[in-house]
Amino acid sequence: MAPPKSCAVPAAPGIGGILPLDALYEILLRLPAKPLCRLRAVCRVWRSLLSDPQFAAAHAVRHPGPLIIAGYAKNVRDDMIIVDIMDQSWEIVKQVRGGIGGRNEVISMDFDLVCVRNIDSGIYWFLNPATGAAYHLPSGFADEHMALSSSLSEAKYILGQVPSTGEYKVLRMFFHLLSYDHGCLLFEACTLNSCPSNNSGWRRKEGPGEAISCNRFTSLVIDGIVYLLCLDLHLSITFHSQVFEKDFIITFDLKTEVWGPRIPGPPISFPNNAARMFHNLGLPRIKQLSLAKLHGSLAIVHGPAPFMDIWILMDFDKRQWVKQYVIQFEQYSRFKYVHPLLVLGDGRIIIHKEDNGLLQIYDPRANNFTNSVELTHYSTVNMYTRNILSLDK
Amino acid sequence: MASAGSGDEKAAAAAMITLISSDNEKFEVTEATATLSQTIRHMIEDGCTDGGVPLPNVTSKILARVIEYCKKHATAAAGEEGSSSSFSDAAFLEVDRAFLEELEEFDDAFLEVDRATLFDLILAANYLDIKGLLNLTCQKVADSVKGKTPEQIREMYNIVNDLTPEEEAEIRRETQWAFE
Repeated sequence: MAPPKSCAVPAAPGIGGILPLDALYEILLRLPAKPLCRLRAVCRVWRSLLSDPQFAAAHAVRHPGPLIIAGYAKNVRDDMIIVDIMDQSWEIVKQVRGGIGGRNEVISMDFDLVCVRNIDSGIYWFLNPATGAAYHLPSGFADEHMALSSSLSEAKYILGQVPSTGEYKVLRMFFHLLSYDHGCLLFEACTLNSCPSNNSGWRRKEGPGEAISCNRFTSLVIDGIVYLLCLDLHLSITFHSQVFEKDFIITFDLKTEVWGPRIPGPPISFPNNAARMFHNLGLPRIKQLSLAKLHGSLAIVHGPAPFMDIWILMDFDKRQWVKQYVIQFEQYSRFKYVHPLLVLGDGRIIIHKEDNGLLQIYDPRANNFTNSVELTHYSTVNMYTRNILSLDK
Repeated sequence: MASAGSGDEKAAAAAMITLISSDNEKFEVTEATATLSQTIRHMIEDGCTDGGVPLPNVTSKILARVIEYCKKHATAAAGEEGSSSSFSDAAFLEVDRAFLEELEEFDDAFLEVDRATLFDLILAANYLDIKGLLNLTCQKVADSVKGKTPEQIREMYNIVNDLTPEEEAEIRRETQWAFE
């Protein structure tokens, strides 16, 4: 006779000597992450069960919903908490503290690393909220830029991961303030290392030969490729409602650290009387043109004109764009980014609307917004893909 | 509920299984009811159910409740199979929905038991490997635990706190936000 698959083992009672550990395991698997972190303090048996990576993995399988990570703006918290991780009902399931004292500001969160700027020292560093590992940027500049260091602007940083090696790399860009031609944009790259003594320093990179727009909505990294918007076309579309033929997306390969092919954007068009039309509709003259990552692909977000168009790059080699979503906003007053974060399994889209700090879910079929939550005290919001139970640091 | 009834009749025509509780009480059930338990299903497949299935970990009181659950849900499973071929028929969908609501009501009423019984049901569901029953009973306990503090949990379940004050302080520091 086959033995029963599992049987009651009274040796390790999980609850008051009545329930065995495997039954307790089954019960606790059904709880959300937040109470589970709290219940580590019940006793030793509960602590070891709830800190077990295997339990964390089983819990993640049972609670597969997407997680949102939100970083605090400066001066919001004085208890070192720098990010909140929340579930799809916007309930906070985990908060993470940062390692550097003083006032911090979260700049960006990509590839599950939080980029933090220490306001007092101006130092940038990266934190892995799952492991607590901190990565520091190399100090100084690339040798070739050393002599210019006193006349350089503050840098813009883009973090990415090289898929084949798993390495984190950072591309940074700054202006040489005493120069006015295209040469004034300087680039450097480095590899992130959690051990500062292994840092190899910044490497100077040639520029792409053209001004580029580089903020956290006009640059992003997919599969080790940095995508950036060419500045003059970006300005032309966003401020003057005009498009001219040009390859306006510039790429940089993080693995080889060289600039790659350029591709044209989607066929954005404006009516001839665009300026007047927007005026009559009471819409701002300034448009948004930004990059996003949806379905794992590059997306261009353009709007409101008067609709927010989301184009997906279906095929890089064929330069094929498809206008997949057209979203209308009832109110849109200021020039702030509207950023699509993720398409859910049922086709709904999680959207972060910067002007009123709203995070909400847009349903394309019903054409409405639901589940809104106001996130005004955060500086940046993104998706989080790691396991939240795995470690607390 | 024509579909559910025909499923039941089919099951009734099949072999009966005798389950024997720890206090030696015998329960005769249909194979469809018994095989909601993966443990018993494996025994049947291995052909070792002649002369009854002894369940030394389950008392007659609990086994009666478990069988009550399995009977109801075996009927539901048979109903689902019966109606799946005519899923486009709105009338059948209506019947299905009504039946699912009835099943939910049954589950709610089924859970109206004291804590000791609930725990015994979890143990039995775990031992007999009855997924639906395990899920139902564990979720009930999980819901009652969700909003509680560690102190309340210890009190509820007579758990002795064997963490040193330092260890407990460490956990609370690490997960301070979870207590807010």
